[in-house]
Amino acid sequence: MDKPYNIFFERTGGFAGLPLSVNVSSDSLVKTDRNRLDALMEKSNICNYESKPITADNFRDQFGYQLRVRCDTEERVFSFTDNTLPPDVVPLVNYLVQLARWQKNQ
Amino acid sequence: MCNNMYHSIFCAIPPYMLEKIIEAGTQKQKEKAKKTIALAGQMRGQRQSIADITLKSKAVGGDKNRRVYSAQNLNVLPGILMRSEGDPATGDKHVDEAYDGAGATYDLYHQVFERNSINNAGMEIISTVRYLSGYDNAFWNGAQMVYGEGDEDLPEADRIFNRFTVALDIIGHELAHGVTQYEANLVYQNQSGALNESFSDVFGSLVKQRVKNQTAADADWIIGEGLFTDNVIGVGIRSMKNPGTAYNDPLIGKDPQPGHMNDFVVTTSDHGGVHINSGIPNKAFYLAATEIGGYAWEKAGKIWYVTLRDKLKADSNFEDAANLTYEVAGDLYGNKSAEQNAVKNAWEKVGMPIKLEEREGCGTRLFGR
Ligand SMILES: [Zn+2]
Repeated sequence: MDKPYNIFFERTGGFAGLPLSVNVSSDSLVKTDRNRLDALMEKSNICNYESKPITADNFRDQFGYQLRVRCDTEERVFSFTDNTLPPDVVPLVNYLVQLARWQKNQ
Repeated sequence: MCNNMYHSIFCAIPPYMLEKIIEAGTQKQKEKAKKTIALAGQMRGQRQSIADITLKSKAVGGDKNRRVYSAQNLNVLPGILMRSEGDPATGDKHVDEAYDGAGATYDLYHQVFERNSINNAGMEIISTVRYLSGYDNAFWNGAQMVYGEGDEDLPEADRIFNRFTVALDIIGHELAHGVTQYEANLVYQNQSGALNESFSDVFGSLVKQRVKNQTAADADWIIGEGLFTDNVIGVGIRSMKNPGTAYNDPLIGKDPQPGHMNDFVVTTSDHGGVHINSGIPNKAFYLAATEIGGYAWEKAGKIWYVTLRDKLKADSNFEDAANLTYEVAGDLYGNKSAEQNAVKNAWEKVGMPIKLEEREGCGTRLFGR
């Protein structure tokens, strides 16, 4: 990923109902950070997932996740829940949760 | 803006700090990445497992029948069996708390409400602990309860959450979602969703109060006491007595729950604020229970339980809950009884007065019914 990019991440719901969000700008990162994020983005393959609306199910108190990223020329929004989060996206989400928590801590 | 948890945060992160975080997390990330390789297949396995549990759980049983599994920090459900009904304590707090909490919850429903487990047909009570790693949540997945370890994977100074089995009312809360699913099956969106959440808090709190042998007046009415670590300024996740006062902390913000319809929060987030607006019916239950007096599970709890079991529909809203708890209180304890008056007063105090009309010769009727 040569061009700078932004990721907006939001986690909502859960038993505690505490929302968490972060907006990450890749060009604000030092090289190692940027490389790490690049690798997680690439591994997640997120732009190849369909952005599906969250449908009704019997899950209660699960987290909802929303990621807004630029895929090629268009910005896309992906919504997942714990039940629908693709395994390859899990490491990226974990990392973004870490960033959001760190940011709140500052 | 960066400190306002109810708005999107648009703040640049200092690169030098990011590097520190990433270095600290690298090993964990690597481990998670390794685990992830196996997850694609296991996610399919999870769905199969849920189907298996659902089928198995439909088997009729006469007694309490608990099983506690460990997901071993993966997201595979139910995971590895750690303790079955009648087994001695394992010494693993997560497992034993899940087991004991499920038992106390079963006992409330069985001994007080004469209900046989989640589906009233002896359904096996399945719990899984150690779901994923650093997972700050507990949930009901339609067939079983699932608990995360909280922030046990972080240094103590960075922890916000303890393990999610730490508070008995969390276990009662999650199991109650199962009961609701088999009864009114309240739609998990907007007011019916907030009612779904509130009924879980109500029964979760009753499990805790009963184990502690507390009257309504003695109880603290806090949900999730002990879930926050000492790093957080707060007594728990929610207060049924004073919604909006459970925590007020620089890191996680302020408890957003309203306790009155005037402060109802309109939002699209979290299924229309189901964990926020539940504060209103939560407070109504607290007010009814304390005005009735004695043990909350005996009368107020019974009114709420019968309403959930027999009266509410999937799309019921707060007004329906108010009118129907009032109606059930009359059925159980008599029209204009002290119990029915307490229910009426409770809903009025949260801004949801019972709507009545006098019909000549027909006694008291509820509007629109
Ligand atoms: Zn819930």
